[in-house]
Amino acid sequence: MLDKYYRGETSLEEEKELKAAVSESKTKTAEKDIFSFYKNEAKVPEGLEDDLFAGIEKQTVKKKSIRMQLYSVVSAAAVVLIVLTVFLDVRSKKQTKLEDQFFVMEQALFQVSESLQPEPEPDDMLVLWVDDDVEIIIN
Amino acid sequence: MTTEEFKNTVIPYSVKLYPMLFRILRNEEETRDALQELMLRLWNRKDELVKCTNQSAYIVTMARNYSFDLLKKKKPQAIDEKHEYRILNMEADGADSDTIERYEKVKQVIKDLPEKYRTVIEMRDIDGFSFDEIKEMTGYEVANLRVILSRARQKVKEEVEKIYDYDTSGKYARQIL
Repeated sequence: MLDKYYRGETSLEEEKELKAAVSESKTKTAEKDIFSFYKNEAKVPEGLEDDLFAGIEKQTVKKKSIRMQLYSVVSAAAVVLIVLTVFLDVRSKKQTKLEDQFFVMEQALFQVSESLQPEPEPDDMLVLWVDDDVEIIIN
Repeated sequence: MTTEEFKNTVIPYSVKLYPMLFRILRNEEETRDALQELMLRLWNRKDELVKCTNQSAYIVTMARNYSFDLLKKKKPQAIDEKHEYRILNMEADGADSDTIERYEKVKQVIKDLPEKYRTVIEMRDIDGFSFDEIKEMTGYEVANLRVILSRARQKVKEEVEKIYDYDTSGKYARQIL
């Protein structure tokens, strides 16, 4: 197996077995020191995978939260817009109605006023001269 | 792809990717952060990943590109800073001075290998990447990779044997194996 290893023909599984067998052996060999070095270099901190996964979950929750916040803000803005539109429309209609009523009232009052007051007599005017440039009038 | 599927198919790559990134960054915290960032990038591209016929190649290619980015950004470190982390861990695990010395000697032997040999041997014997994955990272054909790996392994053994005088009984152990 060791020869196969040195020929670069072992599979990862075979290399695992070989390294385990050599490290268990009590005989001091170059392989023992070399494999021990590899083992040491391959060490990863405890709980690494769990920590990385926790980081991913945190990011997912954060993204969801940001998305939810965005939805909330957009929803609130939409509600405000709808309420504002309805309010302005109602107010505008109300104002038009008032203006109409006021116009009718004004017309009525004007008619009453006209019926009560005699028509003013036309002023007496004496036109002495009129041409394109000059008008001479005496009241 | 659900988070559970991601956990079962992509996250396990971290065991291979961590040592590779650690060799670039030489700092546990930075390596963790870099790996987390890489995983987030992969998660954000999960839709592309699902469509891939060769997910492994996709992940490895992203890891390779990300490593290049890290290498470009990485500031040069003092040699002491680079070397200490693993040794401190070994000391914490109760390793004696002889074990630490042997670790450092092997490390030096691998460091002195030609770059092509070093890259392939590290990816295979430390990270545990398959030949196809190493092919994705390095661009070498599998047949060529086997030759490079074979030469690199033999070179490491020769150099380590030059440093230490191993007992001949090792040869018998080799015959048994």
